[in-house]
Amino acid sequence: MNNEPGDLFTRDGHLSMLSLDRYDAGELDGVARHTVAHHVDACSRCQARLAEVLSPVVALRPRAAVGRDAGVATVSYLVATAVASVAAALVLWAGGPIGGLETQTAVHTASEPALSAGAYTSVAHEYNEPTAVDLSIDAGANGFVATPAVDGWLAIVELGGAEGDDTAPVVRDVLIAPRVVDAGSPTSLARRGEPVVVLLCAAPPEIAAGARFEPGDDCVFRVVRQIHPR
Amino acid sequence: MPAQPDVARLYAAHAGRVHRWVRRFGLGADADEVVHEIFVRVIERLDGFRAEASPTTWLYRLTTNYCINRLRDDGRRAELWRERGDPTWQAAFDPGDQETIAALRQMWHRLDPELIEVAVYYYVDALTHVEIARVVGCSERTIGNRLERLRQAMTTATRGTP
Repeated sequence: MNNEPGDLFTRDGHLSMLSLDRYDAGELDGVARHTVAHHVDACSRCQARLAEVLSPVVALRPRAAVGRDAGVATVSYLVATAVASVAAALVLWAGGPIGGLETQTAVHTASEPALSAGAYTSVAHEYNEPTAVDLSIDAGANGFVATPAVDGWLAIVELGGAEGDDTAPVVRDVLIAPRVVDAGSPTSLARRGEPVVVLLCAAPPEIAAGARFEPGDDCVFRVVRQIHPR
Repeated sequence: MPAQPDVARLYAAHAGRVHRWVRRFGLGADADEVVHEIFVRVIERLDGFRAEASPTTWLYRLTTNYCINRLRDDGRRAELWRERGDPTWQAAFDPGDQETIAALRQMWHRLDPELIEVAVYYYVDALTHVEIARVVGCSERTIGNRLERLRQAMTTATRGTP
């Protein structure tokens, strides 16, 4: 790797996911950061890419320590301790107030074990397999509004599960049972306190209190936390 | 171990993105294991990682090359990819790429690793020559040459010319 400035943009004229990863990691200089933020404000595709970069990821369950290999044992230890601290980001975009909620600019909050894989993992995937389901969240201090980008089944749940547990989290409460929603139809929920998960699937998800939370590959979901003003 | 706090922070900061980078190779079921193995390598090269101006880029390249080599080295995986088709080599945003992409799906495992690496950055991640040169640490001209070699190899393969 050389120290040349490189190119923040991809061949399709939008921000590369690597640039957005570097932005998220705080590795870009002031000019580059301003370029990214300015472009994201005006570009829905790049907003979606940044959301993909910042979205919760698959919870990595701790592996049994191998023991004989110090490197692998170290990684196993790290997974066990880091599972509870993998950052889940909730990305908000500056905009007008929505139904009494105050929309705020992008923030990160360190949170509980992250949960979902994103809808796409690369630019090629983004173009070749149009996102089957997509979900945007606008959140404020008192609740949030979830707006699906495509028709699907929406559910909102609260998760539980003991820290360090190496199984999938358990559904503590089903706040909104899976129901059909149309693209662009917002669903709002007044909410304070524990984080919840908003789930959007192409087919009816099987969700019940007390069951493990194991959404299918045709689902995307976002962890929603109460947002604190900067 | 004195290195633990640094590595723990590094893991917390980057494991998620490494997982996403791994999944772009269609390694969904094995992604967790691959992420573990990548971080073992990071631990082994921690001094080098810390010296990097862009640790994220260093990690991105390490992850990409690890996944490429893993797929190349595993004969069973290569067979499965040939049977199922490769989800990685899909790019529809530039019609001019389609012929090369179609050939890559069949041929990628026979190419030199340096060509596969550049192909991933160019066709999967849609990076420009400038950015690929920064990631790989060489000149734009070198990247252009490698892409041209790749296209020629694909053209030769599809036309059956020795």
